[in-house]
Amino acid sequence: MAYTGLATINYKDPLTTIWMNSVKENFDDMAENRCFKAWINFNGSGAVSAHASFNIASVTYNALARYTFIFTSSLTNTYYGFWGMGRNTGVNHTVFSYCESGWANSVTTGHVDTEWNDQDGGQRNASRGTFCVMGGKGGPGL
Amino acid sequence: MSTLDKVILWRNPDGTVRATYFIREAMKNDETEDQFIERQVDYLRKSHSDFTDLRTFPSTKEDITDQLQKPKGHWERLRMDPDGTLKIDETIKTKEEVRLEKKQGAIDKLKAIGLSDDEINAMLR
Repeated sequence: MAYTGLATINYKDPLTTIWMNSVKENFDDMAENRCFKAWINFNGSGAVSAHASFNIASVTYNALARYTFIFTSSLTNTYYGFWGMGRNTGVNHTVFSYCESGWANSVTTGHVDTEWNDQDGGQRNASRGTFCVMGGKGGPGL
Repeated sequence: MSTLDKVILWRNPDGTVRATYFIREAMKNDETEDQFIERQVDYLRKSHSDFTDLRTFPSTKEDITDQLQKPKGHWERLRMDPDGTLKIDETIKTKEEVRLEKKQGAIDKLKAIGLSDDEINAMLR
């Protein structure tokens, strides 16, 4: 979406409601479509710990390489993008996450169930991993 | 940014263990740690049918770390008794150990039919 309204104001012009609404419209678009909705940088080996995160309330270690991330604030729909990437320092392999489709409701507005594999398809814990969620506005056909 | 020291352990029927860790900053202003944890546990039970009937045991990151730092300590060997006692079952082979055993078995067979180490390494790459 193109930015609207912002070019019509000049330096030292008084702020108007129209212009402020225009700023809000652009900001809302960025928040909805262009920003991360949730992310976490975590240590997934041993006792899990989060180094930093946004909109993640808890992490559940279900079994080897299988983590569930619960959002602090639910998302508006399930058409968001997500991915994870990290490193398993035990075997020094890069690991990637995907949706654990074997579980019912593995991608929902409230959580994502993930499994992390290396390039050979082997399940690996993320000794240090980052998981990100973004987008999600709209839905099928939009 | 920090993870609470409190951890909830879930005992699967086969004695294997799941663990839920909590992000301190996700707590609501008027919420205690225990209320926050209860809210997350309730969510997991309602959203995952495989959690619904599991017993939960309050624990700490230190308890888990103590187990995992034992000789042969590994998540895949971590087991919980019905009373909530954690232990490491040293007889259990991890998936990685099984994979390496199979790999070594295949290498031994290839050597037996006359392949050199270089040839075997080239095949394994």
